[in-house]
Amino acid sequence: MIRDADYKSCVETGLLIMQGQRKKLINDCLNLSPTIYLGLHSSESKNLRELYFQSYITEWLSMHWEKMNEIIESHIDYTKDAQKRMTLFYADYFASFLTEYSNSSISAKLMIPDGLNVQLEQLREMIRYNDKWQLNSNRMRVQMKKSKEQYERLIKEFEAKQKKEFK
Amino acid sequence: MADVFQSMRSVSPANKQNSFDSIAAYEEHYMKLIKKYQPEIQAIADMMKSIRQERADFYEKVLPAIEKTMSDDNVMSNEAKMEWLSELRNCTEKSLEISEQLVNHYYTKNLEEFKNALQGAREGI
Repeated sequence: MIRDADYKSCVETGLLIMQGQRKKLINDCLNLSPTIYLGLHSSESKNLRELYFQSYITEWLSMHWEKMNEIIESHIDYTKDAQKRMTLFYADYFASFLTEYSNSSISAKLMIPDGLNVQLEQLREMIRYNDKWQLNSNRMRVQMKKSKEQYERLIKEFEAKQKKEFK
Repeated sequence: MADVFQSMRSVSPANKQNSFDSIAAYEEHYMKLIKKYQPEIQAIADMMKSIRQERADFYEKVLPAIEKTMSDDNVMSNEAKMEWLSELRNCTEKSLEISEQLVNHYYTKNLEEFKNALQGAREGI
């Protein structure tokens, strides 16, 4: 699938994306990004805390895919074929990442488990039916946005419920 | 079924190529290949070194710094702190593993190419 000349550049880009997102995660922890901060300080409700943490992590995971798309889109010299090869190359690793993650810790009790499962299914579809790679990639980006909105809605609902209980 | 004992059998005299010229030619091809692949070998070594360094830094410097930030910020719930730190470790480890997989596959691909090139050179001698 990947041409020899592309392989090194795909690997290097993949490494850059992974490293960039690890840096982002660390910086967000050190600078206490709002979602992490709110999670750490919502000690009254374990559910709300987990929602904040899950919301941050699901968005952080999505950022990996978004970053790859940004890189592809920024290279106007990439042909459609090159874009396809790179997307499918990275889809494989991203699917492993999501699978590994969905089998562990917080994600084992995700409040919106479907979000990650749907993304994984879309990635598998993309790899299986690679002629529809662009359609599946777009669908995945939509699903990522949906997950983010679902988390925001759930957090608002939990907060409203908590406020009522405290009154 | 493949002959699994093939490599243990002695090479027939007809197939033996042990003249000095053959060995020297083989060595020359080998050195040329090493030279050709030297940038790739170096790139793979650098990639692995960078991942190892990043993992070490994470546990030795970054994690303690984040714990300190949380303490300075007066995170009241120890449970929340532990939960987030465990999540952070988990995400970082999984991400580093994917990076290692990327380098390993690149290494395997290059090794395969190298072996094929070596095989080609051996057949030519």
